[in-house]
Amino acid sequence: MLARLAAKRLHEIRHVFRQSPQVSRSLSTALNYHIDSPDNNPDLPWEFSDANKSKVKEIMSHYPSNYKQSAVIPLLDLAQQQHGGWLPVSAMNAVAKVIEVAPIRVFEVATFYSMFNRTKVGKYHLLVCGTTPCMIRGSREIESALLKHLGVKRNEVTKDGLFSVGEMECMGCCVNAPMITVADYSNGSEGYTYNYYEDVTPERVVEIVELLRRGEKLPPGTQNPKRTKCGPEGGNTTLLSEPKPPLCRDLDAC
Amino acid sequence: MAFTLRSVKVPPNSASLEEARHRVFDFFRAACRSIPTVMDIYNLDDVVTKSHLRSAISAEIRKNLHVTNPKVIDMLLFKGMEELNNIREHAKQRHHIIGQYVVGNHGLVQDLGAKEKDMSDFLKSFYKSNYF
Amino acid sequence: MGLGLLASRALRPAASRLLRYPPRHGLARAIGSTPERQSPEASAAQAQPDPAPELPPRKPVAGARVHLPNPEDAIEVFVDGYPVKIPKGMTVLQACEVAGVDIPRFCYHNRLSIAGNCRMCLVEVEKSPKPVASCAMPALPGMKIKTDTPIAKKAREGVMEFLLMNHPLDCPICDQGGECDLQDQSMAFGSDRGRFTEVKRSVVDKNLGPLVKTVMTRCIQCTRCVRFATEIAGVQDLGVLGRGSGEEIGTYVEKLMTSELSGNVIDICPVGALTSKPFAFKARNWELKGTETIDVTDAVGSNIRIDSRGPEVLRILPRLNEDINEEWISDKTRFCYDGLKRQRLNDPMIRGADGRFQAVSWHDALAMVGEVIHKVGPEEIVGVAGKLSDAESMMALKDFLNRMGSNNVMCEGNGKHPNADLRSGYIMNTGIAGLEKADVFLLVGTQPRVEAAMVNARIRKTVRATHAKVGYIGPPTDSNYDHEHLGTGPQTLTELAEGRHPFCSTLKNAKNPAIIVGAGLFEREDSDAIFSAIETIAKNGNVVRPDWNGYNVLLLHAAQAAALDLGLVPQSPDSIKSAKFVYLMGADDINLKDIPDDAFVVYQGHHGDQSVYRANVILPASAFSEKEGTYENTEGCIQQTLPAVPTVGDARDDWKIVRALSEVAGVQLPYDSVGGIRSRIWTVAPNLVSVDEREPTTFSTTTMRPNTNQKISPNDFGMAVENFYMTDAITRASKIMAQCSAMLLKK
Repeated sequence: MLARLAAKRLHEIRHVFRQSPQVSRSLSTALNYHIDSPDNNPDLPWEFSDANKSKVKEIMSHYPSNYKQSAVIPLLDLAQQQHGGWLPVSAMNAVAKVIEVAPIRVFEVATFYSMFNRTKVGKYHLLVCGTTPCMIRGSREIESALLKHLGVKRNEVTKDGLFSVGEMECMGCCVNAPMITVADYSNGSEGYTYNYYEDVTPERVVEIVELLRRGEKLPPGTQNPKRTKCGPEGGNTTLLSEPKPPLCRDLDAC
Repeated sequence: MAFTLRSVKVPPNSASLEEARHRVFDFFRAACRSIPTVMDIYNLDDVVTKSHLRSAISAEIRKNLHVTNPKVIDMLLFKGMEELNNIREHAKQRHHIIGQYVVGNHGLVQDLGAKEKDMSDFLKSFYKSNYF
Repeated sequence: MGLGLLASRALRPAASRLLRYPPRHGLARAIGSTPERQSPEASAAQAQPDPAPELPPRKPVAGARVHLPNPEDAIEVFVDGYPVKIPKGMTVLQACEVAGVDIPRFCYHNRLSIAGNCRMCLVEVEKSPKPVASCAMPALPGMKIKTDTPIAKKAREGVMEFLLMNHPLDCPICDQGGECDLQDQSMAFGSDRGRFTEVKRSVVDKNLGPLVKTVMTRCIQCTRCVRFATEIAGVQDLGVLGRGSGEEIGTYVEKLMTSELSGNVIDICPVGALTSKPFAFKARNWELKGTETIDVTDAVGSNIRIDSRGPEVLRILPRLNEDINEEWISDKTRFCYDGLKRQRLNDPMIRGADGRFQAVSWHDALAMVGEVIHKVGPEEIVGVAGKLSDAESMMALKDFLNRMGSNNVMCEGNGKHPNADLRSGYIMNTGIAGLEKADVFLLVGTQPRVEAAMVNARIRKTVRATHAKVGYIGPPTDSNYDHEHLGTGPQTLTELAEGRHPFCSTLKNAKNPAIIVGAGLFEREDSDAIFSAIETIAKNGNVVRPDWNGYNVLLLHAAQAAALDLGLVPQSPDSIKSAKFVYLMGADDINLKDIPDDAFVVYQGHHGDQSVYRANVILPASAFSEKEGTYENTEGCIQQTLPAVPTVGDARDDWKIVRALSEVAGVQLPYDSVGGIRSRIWTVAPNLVSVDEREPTTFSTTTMRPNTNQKISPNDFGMAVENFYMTDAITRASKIMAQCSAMLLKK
């Protein structure tokens, strides 16, 4: 009986997933292959800015000269910040040149990590956590509220180029679920921030978007005024006394 | 089978050698007259010429030069007529015609003239094929 | 895995205690259907006597050999209870192979680095909590490996189920069908059903060029092709893109695979993701007849298998030969076969008065040639053997023309003054496999990548493994390993010979220096002077020693070495310019303008290539896939081709034509069979008769070359091979090769 019920429920869940508009819940922002476009093709020149060149030098100094390829991830990150949140092919080629490997080795890394965007994103790239705890606490509603408010689809950029919405896997804030992350590329790599906004509600994310649109800097962290950081709402209800000392062998007794 | 039999009339036996001779000439003429049709239906224009076919027919007839018995000649004529009918009615295929009248029994007709006088076995088999 | 198995494993070491405790069937019964699971104690009891003494001796898989350089480094492991001695550092999989157990695998390939990502090679190792991937696990002393236990079987079954999850069920329309590792191994090790009910993934196909067809949905991400391209071909184009279920193999940006070895990814792909584009949907592998023969498109003599159906060559595959081509072949070797079907000469032909060719019988053609050859003086007769000629036909040609009184027989590519006296002066003395021992290479006027791709792969292997230094003199070239470009012409050579060049010290300090000289230099007017300069360098660098001969000539054509062994040296270098009768035996690359206008030219060959335009008589011959012929490769290894398909049209074997012509011309050659001609060869060059052997040259540290008063001209070295894909009559007739040169040689 129970088994039949479970099977029926599973079937329903599957059915729901099949019908869902996002058939492919792709995590990365792009395909695994490159299609030439006017703003993204290997012939476009791309170079690290002068300020970032010194950063490149600094990053390269962390690695021995025969392991330059180890710097691929920090360099890609730097290039992404410089290029407004995404990596065109020419940027990846430039990184490959710096670390002296074949470009394909850089493409491999950039396609592997979903944090590297290979298509255009907005100046504020909003990432909604979609992993189980956040999903249970309503991340789907938050995402749909964002998408509805901005009038875009997932991984699409708004017309003014300010916002885009993506999905991320667990970012370790489950205690304050649901949460979103705002990757702020509006000020290049100098003013780059990557802030978590936790305990959000569908209304609150819309407010956050509007605040960002006005250029206001709001403090990251929990959006529930009754909570401090990840503490419980309205202050501690337990663990009120002094914590016990750690359990430890009594060395003197031996 | 039926249509072949219908068209082949069995004439009475020739009374004399002279009559048989005449019949042979008639047959040769009939055969020569059908050459254009034959070349047409078997698509032989690119492999053989009319005169070549004509000489092939006369060579077939000359093969039996030594026959003097009118009864035997009549029988051979009947067989020839039958063959001619078969050919005209497209009862044969192209390669039959090419094999029998263009190429001949001993390889290419044009090779038949080659004289294998003092050739080594190697050369003889070399002319025949690559595999020996 | 079930409780029963755990119980049986727990009980096995304690088997001796089994007698004291009565079996507890009720407690340890597991849910399962296989007999050993139903009663674990019984199976444990069965396994209890040590099975080692009863095991029949096993044969290593595929002739796997154990080479123990240091007997004290050997360790002993037990594979299914069978003890086997292996050297330290071998993996568990290799140990199993030595023990005669074939472990299923997809990603592991013994010539590529270990990836360990397909997990198909899981085996059970005693005292290891989980099954281990045997390809990546080094064998440790005393390891007890079990390849046939329920754990190992179930692990393989599980891996296979995962692999088949996203693999399309399109075997009926897949070209790999019948020779597919996944197909075979799922039959042998897979389950009879899967539990996956979702939608399978699909992947966009990639365009890798005119040779490799991709159906990327079939890919199981073994990454063999990525490793091959990176490690062996040296073109870093392929990579693993994406992650998880979105992972795919690709080039990211649209890029063709511009390697001269790209066809090998077809062979190493365990599934039908990478297949041959020219062979696509042509045949099934079980319909094909395989003929083990050798390749003649370059001087390497790669070992190949020609797969044919009826009279048609359908594909060419490599054969394993560790000394020559390992298990790879170049794209030219693999895909030139469609040239065997195009532009073939079918019938003997004579050029009529109107300048058009008229097909005639062999009798007439030979009669005409035999007549004309008697009308010219003996010194006006010249014979040129082509680059694809076999030793038998060259021997026959030389004997025939000698009997006609002429000694002007040459082989194209060997230049005007070939030095056939010293065998060490025109072959690769180190041997192709021997190059792996070298630590410094000096390439003089040669681009091995286009001249002999397999030799280049060997050099690249050495450079990768030992960081050997490579110096190169010649025009700037695209090489797939690090090299130092020393100069472009003979000037650098002179500097090296006089010890003024910085590379001299590298050469001198090297343990095993190897000099590789391109055969393109044979064609230079100052070849003698250049070769004596190279010999000076060899002497100064101590390149030729009793234990190491590093002086190598890299030949260009399959016929060259045998021609020089047989002494196909023209009496007078410019005889062709005053010739009245020229016999071209497949020679298409000679300068046709050198032939006087009134000369009578006989072309004997299999393709209507360049020389046919000048020929007066055409004698159709058979190509290498249709005849039995002896070839000597650049390292002096004698190999034979075998006929895979019948000859085309009315063609004949080369030596038979010459033999028949000699009889028509009245100077009958004394041999009627291949055996006869080989015994004649034996009297001239005995080494050409010992097939599959490489006769080492006698070397001397003092040069035996006659002194030359030639001056080295300052002209730079040229490219010996302009277009890798089109070097001879067969490859020039090939459509695939034409596509390759159009698409892959974009400059």
